[in-house]
Amino acid sequence: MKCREVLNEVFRQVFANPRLDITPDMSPNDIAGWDSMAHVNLIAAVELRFKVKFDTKELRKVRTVGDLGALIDGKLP
Amino acid sequence: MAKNLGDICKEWAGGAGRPDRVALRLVQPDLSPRDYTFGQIDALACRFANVLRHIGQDNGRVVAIFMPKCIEVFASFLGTLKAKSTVLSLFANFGDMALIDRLADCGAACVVTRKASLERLRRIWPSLPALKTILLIDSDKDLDVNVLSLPARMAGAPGEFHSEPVDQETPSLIHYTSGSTGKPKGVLHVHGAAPYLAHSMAEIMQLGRDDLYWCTADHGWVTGTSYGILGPWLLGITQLQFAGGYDPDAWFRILQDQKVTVWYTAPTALRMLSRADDIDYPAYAIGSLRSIFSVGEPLNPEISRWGRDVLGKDIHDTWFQTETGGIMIANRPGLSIRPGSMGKPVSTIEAAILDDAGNPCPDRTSGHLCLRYPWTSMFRDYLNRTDSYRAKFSNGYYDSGDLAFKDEDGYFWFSARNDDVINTSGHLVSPFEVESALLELPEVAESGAVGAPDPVLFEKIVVFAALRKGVEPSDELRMKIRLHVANRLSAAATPQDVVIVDKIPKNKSGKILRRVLRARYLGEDPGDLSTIED
Repeated sequence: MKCREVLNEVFRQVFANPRLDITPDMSPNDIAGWDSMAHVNLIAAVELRFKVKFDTKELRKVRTVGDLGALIDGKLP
Repeated sequence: MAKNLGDICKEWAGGAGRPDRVALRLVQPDLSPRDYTFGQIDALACRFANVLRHIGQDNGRVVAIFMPKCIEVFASFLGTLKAKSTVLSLFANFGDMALIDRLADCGAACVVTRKASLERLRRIWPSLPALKTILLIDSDKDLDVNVLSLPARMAGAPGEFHSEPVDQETPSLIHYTSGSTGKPKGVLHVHGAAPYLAHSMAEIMQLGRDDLYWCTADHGWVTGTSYGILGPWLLGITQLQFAGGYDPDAWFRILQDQKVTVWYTAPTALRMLSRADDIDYPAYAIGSLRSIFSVGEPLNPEISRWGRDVLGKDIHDTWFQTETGGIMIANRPGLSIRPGSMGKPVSTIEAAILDDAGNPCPDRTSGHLCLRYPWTSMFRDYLNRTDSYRAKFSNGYYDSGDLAFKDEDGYFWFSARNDDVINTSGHLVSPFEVESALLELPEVAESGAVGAPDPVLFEKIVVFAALRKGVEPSDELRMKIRLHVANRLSAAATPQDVVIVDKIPKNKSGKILRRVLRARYLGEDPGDLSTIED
């Protein structure tokens, strides 16, 4: 995950947890507050920070931090 | 005396003489199901009650359930009731301010949660003097003398518990609800609620012993406890619960693979499903599904038509509130649906549309939607705000705070809220709480929050922020505002639109003129501006 460091900052901001350290295998079960509604905020924050856009089909496959990181990596130049 | 609600899996219709029958099919995020019998659920609840007794959290304490859907939710819910303590049921996505407001107001002494939420709870613990114990569902060992391992204690606890005797008025459950001013109010329910929950569920849902019933509501919401825990088990019905989040494909695979027969969900979820245009709904074999119900916000006619055209099913809208505890007005099988209508009252409920003086309104004239009390599941108090509770009742009626009208055939139709509370995807959000959260940001000098119509959420939260001198608006600041509100209150309270303004309109007393903000946002006439501050 090339974007890991910046993505970690986004996760910390979205979930208001300054001590959060993401790992690729983390899922909503491991991060407090990561539910369907917070997921919308996470994606909006990721899109703004990385200047990328996702479509609904892409987002539906995101189950873990690693899935999201791979999606971002694929969009970055 | 009354039966203890915590015993529903043993002594009520659901459990009596049928401990080997499946009570709960808990479907994991990977869609694998696990079944629990009435006997197993009751044994888990007994173990939990014994844990509470052992740590001194029985008999009148408040035990908060703060975790996503999992088996421990059900065990701790029923176990707390068995031990005659009161359940505070919380959304797992509540932020710091929302948690403090609720846990402090009711004096919760114990929180059942998971390790991922511990950081947040430790952060706010200094604001919670009554909080003594945190029980972690996913820690094998105690972290300190106040943060304890639930699995370790459950393993050593007996699977039998002689429930504490209760009467009809013994407190059972607290849900918080928002008003347009002030902090959220704790709505108190009692063990005596059971008869109405069973009656309304039987009359509206028309369930039989062979049904598999699925309520998608979170247990932080009254629907999730009244009809996602208690209602089906009072009738001995097997219920399904999904431990994952919103996912159209997953939801329809569950409906198909598990052969769900009755489904209770929310208009926002149905609207989102109807917009998932990459999902081929006819490809899912959902022939077992007999009835769909929804609750939370009015169901728009377009979604009724989508249900009929795409799913081949009627969607029956229902109406109730945290305060009513149970469904009051509903569409139901056998009653012709008028799309957009709430339906008709439950047979034992008298609903009326009253004017400001308390007189009945003529048909098709909007007025206050009121209910003649009592019924057993009605709330018994707003915690620490009994004056507000009493103000909801007059001349034998409870005033719901909703405005509605009745047609000539007795169908009820929602018009609007009678206050500024925002109903976003079924969650009532106080504009006051949102405005207060915004003012915590150093960049924001003044704030306002209103609800605006939204095709998916019913209402979306729109915030207005006047920035401090020298602060420039930017997309990053708008995102910071969104996330701050989400983290202080909950993800459900996230502003969908952030409007930067020079000044927030107020009257001469300093009250925010939300109607002016709303009108300006919607491009409508703001009406009388004579009271506006210069």
